[in-house]
Amino acid sequence: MSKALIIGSSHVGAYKNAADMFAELYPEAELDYFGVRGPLFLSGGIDKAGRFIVPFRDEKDRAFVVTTNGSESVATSGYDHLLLVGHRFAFVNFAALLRDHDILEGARTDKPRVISEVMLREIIETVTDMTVKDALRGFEDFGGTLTFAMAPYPASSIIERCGELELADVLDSFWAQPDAAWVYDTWLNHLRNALAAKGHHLLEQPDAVNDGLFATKPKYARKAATLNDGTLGKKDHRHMNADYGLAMLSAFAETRLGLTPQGAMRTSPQKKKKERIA
Amino acid sequence: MAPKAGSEVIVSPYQGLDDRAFWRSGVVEAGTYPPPDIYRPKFPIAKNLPIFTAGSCFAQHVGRTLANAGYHVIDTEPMPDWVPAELAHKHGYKLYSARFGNIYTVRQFLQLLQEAFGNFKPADPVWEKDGRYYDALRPGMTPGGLARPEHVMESRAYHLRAVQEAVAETGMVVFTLGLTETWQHKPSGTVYPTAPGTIAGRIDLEVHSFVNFRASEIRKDFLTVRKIFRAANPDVKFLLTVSPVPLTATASGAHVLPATTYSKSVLRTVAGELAEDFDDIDYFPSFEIVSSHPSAGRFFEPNLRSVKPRGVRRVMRAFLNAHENKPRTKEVRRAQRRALQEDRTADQKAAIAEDVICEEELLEAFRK
Repeated sequence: MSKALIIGSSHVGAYKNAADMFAELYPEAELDYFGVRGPLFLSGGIDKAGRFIVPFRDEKDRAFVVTTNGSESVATSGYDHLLLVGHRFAFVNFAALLRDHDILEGARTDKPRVISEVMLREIIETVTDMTVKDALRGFEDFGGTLTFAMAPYPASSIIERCGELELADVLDSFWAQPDAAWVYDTWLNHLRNALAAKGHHLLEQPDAVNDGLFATKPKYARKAATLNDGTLGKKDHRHMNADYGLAMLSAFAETRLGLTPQGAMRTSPQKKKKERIA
Repeated sequence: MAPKAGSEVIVSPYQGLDDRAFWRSGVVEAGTYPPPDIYRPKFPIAKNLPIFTAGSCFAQHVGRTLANAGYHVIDTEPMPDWVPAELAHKHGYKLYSARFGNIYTVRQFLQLLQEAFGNFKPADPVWEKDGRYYDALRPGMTPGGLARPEHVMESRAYHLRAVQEAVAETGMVVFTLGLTETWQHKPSGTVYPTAPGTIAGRIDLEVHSFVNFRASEIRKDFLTVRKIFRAANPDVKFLLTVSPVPLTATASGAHVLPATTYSKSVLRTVAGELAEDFDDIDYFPSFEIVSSHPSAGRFFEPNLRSVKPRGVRRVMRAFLNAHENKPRTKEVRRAQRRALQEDRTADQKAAIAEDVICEEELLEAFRK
């Protein structure tokens, strides 16, 4: 039996909502969940006693965490794996930089400025390293390998909100940029390597849920739920539903826990394979 | 202020002058250094006045301090705040009002402006080194160079548009005069910020020659610079400073110490005369604060060339105090003394000094 603890921001909600489906598919895995608001998660860490704790800003914070999780901290000992959910590793910053800049050695899209590939690569690598350092801060005393699952890539349907939401504008511009793939690949490869260099692992979104670069298929954002099961507004394009959670948990089980799916959905990957061949 | 003729019997024209006019009261017994009242601004600088900063490496401190103090320093080639400053500086961002790098001579400044407005075409604008290409007019801005000469030219075209934009919105120009010596492309008169061959390119003494600008040439160049800015905004103001950083090397044939004194004296003279002659030009004595003998060299690093962060802070504090009209009460003087002590402590602790990008350091490296 593999035992894993999933700690993270509100995006843990998608994983938690997939818990029952996951248990059917992977009965050999035992998962526990601990989710807090994003800013608390990002500034939390493991204390000397091995508990994941967060710096509460006020009593409301504390009460919310206790109501959601049953306790205000969680013990990390006794788990084989720790999955941290909710970092973004600065990608939106890099996408935002391309709103005003074309890459000097790349295509022209009438941006007011150009930036050299050398400098852009240096920015991506330096800033990504800084975010990795930040992400690992507070987990120095955890003996094992950490696995990081980023906050879900926004649903590609986020462009519906262009003009009212900056993230939508940034991504709309990024997805239209002919050199977007170079930026995305440079970032992702560096992130993967930077975590590996520290002995940790990046759990990437499976291709099946992706809708291009740094985008999730809109269907995974439908009926997305918050950590406490309250349905989010229809305009939320960042929080994902249980189907997304299951896809991520399955990827985690297979790549990190070494498990294969069992039970009713065992044939599912084959179906997917047939779909790909078709 | 000169004494007024009237009922008083004037014994000497120095009678009744302010303390600042006398060496003993203005410097020796001033109580603080730099002496209070060392600088009286000719005109106020509103926080929302768009300021164009340029000059030799010391000017980076000026722009940075003004921006940190809440002044509106123009930046038409910006980088977001989340990009680490060190990385941005390395590629020429967040140093000046556009990504032109250090401008050591007034001729270099004039050339840049003329080129931006289509009135000058530099000779030999792309330099090569080890198969990589550099902008000869700002070779330090692309460490490692670019893959193709076309990239250099295209990048420069974007840069020149950014310079134009910056000029168009300028309310005040802060310029630090750095050097009189430079290297030029003889047939065209194009001057470069670094000698060909220092960062990239090759020196060809048939084509390139050393030039040490005279005061009259520098004044003439500056007045043309002024004309260009005034064409965009007739109310534009100018604040001149002279860099206290000595020459790393001289190609004049003289010893580097007298060559430095000569160069700085010429620049100081030009700046002083311009400030005397024009109401829209002011001079701030950063050079004197750092370099003159009452500072006893204590603002220089052991290499006697780089200015210590403490020196920069002292200069910029004098500037901000004068512009923000802080009264020089006993409390303020006490605070200044406290600040002095803090400066010393900060210097001792400073593991990483606020670095400036200075191509001249390369000259030193080349000496070895």
